[in-house]
Amino acid sequence: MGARVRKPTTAAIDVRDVTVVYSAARGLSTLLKKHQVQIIQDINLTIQPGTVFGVAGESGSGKTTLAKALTGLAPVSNGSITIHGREVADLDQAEWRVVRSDVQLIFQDPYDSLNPRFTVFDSVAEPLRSQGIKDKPEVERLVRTALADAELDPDTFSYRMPSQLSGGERQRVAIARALVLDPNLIIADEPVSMLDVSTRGEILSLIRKAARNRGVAVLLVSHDLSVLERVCDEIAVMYLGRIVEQGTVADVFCQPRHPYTQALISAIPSVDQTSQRSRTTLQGEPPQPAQRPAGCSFHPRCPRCDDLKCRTVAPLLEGTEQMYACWHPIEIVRKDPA
Amino acid sequence: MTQKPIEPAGQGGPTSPNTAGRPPGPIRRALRENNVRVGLIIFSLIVLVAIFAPMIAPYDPQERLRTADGELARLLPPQRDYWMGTTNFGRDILSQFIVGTRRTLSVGAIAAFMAVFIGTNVGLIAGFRGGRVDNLLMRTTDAAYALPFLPFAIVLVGIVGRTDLILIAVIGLLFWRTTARVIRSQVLTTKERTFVKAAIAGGASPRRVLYAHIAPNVVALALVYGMLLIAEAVMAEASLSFLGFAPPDSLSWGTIMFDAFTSQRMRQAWWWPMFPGLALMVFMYSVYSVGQGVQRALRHMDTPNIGPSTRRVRRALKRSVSVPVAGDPPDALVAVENLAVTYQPRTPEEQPVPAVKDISFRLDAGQMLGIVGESGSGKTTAVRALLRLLPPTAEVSGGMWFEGRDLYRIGDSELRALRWEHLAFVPQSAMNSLNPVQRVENQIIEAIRVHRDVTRAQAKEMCATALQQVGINPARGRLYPHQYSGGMRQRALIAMAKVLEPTLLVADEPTTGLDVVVQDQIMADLERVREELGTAITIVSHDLALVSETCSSLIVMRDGDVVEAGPTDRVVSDPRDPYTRMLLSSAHGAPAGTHGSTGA
Repeated sequence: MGARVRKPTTAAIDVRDVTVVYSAARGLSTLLKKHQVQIIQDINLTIQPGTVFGVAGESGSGKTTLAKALTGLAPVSNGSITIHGREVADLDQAEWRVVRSDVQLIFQDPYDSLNPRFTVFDSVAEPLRSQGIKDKPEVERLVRTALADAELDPDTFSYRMPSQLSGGERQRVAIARALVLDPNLIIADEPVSMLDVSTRGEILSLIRKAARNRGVAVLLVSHDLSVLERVCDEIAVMYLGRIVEQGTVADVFCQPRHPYTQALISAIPSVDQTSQRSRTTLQGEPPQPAQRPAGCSFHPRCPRCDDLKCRTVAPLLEGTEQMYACWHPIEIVRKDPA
Repeated sequence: MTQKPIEPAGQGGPTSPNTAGRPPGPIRRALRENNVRVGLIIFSLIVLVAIFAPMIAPYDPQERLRTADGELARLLPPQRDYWMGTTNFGRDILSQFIVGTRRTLSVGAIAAFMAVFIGTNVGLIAGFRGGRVDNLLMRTTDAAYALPFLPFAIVLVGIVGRTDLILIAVIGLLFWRTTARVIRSQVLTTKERTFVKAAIAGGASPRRVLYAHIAPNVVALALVYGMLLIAEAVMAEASLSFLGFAPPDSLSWGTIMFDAFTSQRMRQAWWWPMFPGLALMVFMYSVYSVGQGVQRALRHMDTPNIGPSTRRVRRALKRSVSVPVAGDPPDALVAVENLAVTYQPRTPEEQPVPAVKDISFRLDAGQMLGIVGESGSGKTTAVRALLRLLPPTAEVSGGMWFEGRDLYRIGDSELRALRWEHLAFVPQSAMNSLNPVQRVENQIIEAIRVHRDVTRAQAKEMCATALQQVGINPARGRLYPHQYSGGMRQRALIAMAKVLEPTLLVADEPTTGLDVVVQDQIMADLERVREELGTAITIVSHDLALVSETCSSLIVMRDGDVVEAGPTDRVVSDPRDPYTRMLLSSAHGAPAGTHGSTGA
């Protein structure tokens, strides 16, 4: 792919038309294009420093692949990813290592994400050591700051082993590890799905605080819209590898335009006794990316699909503030949700 | 504080007290076994003998001894002056044995170290690099497997001559192969663990990922293999020495047997080869018992404690402790009164753990009850106690009645008859409990025919209806579990649980790990079961919002205590316990002000 000259933007990350293709074939037939499956397709998004961007979708929607592509852990077949003004889509693994200090990860499983033989201090110091920062007082200072930012007392926790920590404490260590290099972008893939309900709120507000105070951009991936609703500024809903709706949290939640977004929102269980929500109208589960339906990918499950257009022509993501890809978007009932 | 409450796993925060000590390491854990201790003592004794050999040996092993009357002490049987007897040249076998221990052990240890060193590195690099490197190294390993030990040794000694180095090289160059394979497969699994991914994401160089993150988590196993290899190497050294490949005039257990053999006096002097032979056996025993003990301990540590397996549960069923309270059967479908469960410690240093302290509830036909709590709250233990599904270490007290029967007074066969037909249970992560090699349909049909006297065709009919009712096309019943998504597997299990039209269905975390849309479908399935069959349903969940939508009454548990119980409407609109309030505030649709807007 030829060099794509882009003006460095102020955005923490700028993603343009990113596509990830996996080959479903084995052996020689890998050479044939027809076996290639698009896991994610034409993804565009921009995250500003200090904001939290949420990506929602069911399993198989490609949200995890997107997170991997943005960290160089999945091969980008097409498109450009600019992190802090630097094009990274074409970098190989060795070149990525240099960029890593800019992009950090928080993983889903806090019980597996810490090396069982490392103390908390060593786990948090690990990225510093990997980046060649060896000066002891400096490492100590940075680790203590990161632990304090993750709301863990450095004196109490530095020399604990992961087996002595609760799930919430482990996830805080993981956050400290992600913050220690002062990155521009943190990617968190389902960071609270394995935690207890009471801990979730703390971890989420911690992530939000980190974004605000340190000016780091956060990409938060979750299948649980109620999680995203609480921390995100902007949100993108993915279905079968494509973004079907994108906008600010207030817009998307109060006034979903895409029927899939509406289905996801209505599926969230709620303790609100006054509004008896209706059960999801969606039947079945998303199809495999290899058997993508023609036209709008969502049409076989869509309650609003009623014409040939839905079945033959794929809608594009359109709009200015709130973007959606649907031929029959849900009408805006009132402009102001307040 | 004698009884430490279970710590809620999610009780994060810098101030949370965390006094749990480090779990015992594999060595300490292994040392709890008696045969490991005995093995270790024997092994240490043999090592001490090797270290202090010249000081312990009563005679110079090469000295030709003479008896009091000046005769050569030739072929004397074991006696006071010569504990192991003498050779045909009048040498003391005990002294030869003691001095020979040194060579036997050092050749064995050096060879084993070499084999483990090569094997570990080959395994680490092959597993980590993968691809062509892996292929090359593993094919080399296969080639090492193809080399026969003795012919290889004979050829090598024939070319180079009899030296200690050749013995070590022969053993070292052949025995690394097993270590390499085991380490490689360990690396392949460890490589996929999240903390390794995290290290890569942190920018660690491949070298650092391999040697700082992967290796420390697999070398414990290499050490076990090293231990076992010492035994093998000592045996190999003895065999080679016995066949005469040891350097001339060297002394080891093998050369003593070689001398005995070549003297052609073995028939008279039984003691000559016997003692080194016995020593070999004892040595092998000690090394294997220690090595395998540590291996067992390691395996135990690597398996996370995720609750009893179904097999263990099934076995435990037969032994469940019963401490019932006598009383009249209440008229509710299910009645639980003052249920308490304490886990008895398995080892003396542990404390008994009160998992459930005091819980009482009643459930009528067609009612739905939600038991809510975080991990460690005792919610799962409570329902498992009701179903008599706890392991034998659990001490249960209180009264439990189902359909007027005291569940802890009926016999095992009566209980078995109740299960599935009246009392269905969908355990947590049940979707992984389907038999992977049987068609889903067949598993449901089997379950039906165990309990009902119906023909296969009738059972198939019932199965098809049940699948249909949970939204699975009956034609897909012919598929295998791996061809189902997680949501479909869970729905198939609900179909299996409801097919016999039970009066009570208990579902433990039925939607954990599933997407919201699928979660919604499953809750709808459960509601439909209740409506169509009038089944009473108990749902155990960590998600207050989820159960508050479907259940008419709620029990909120924390650390084994019931903190709040009552009709859902009351609990949600007017929570009395601060913990319930906290759970409510972190749930979706909570009253404004507690968290972000919902815009309702």
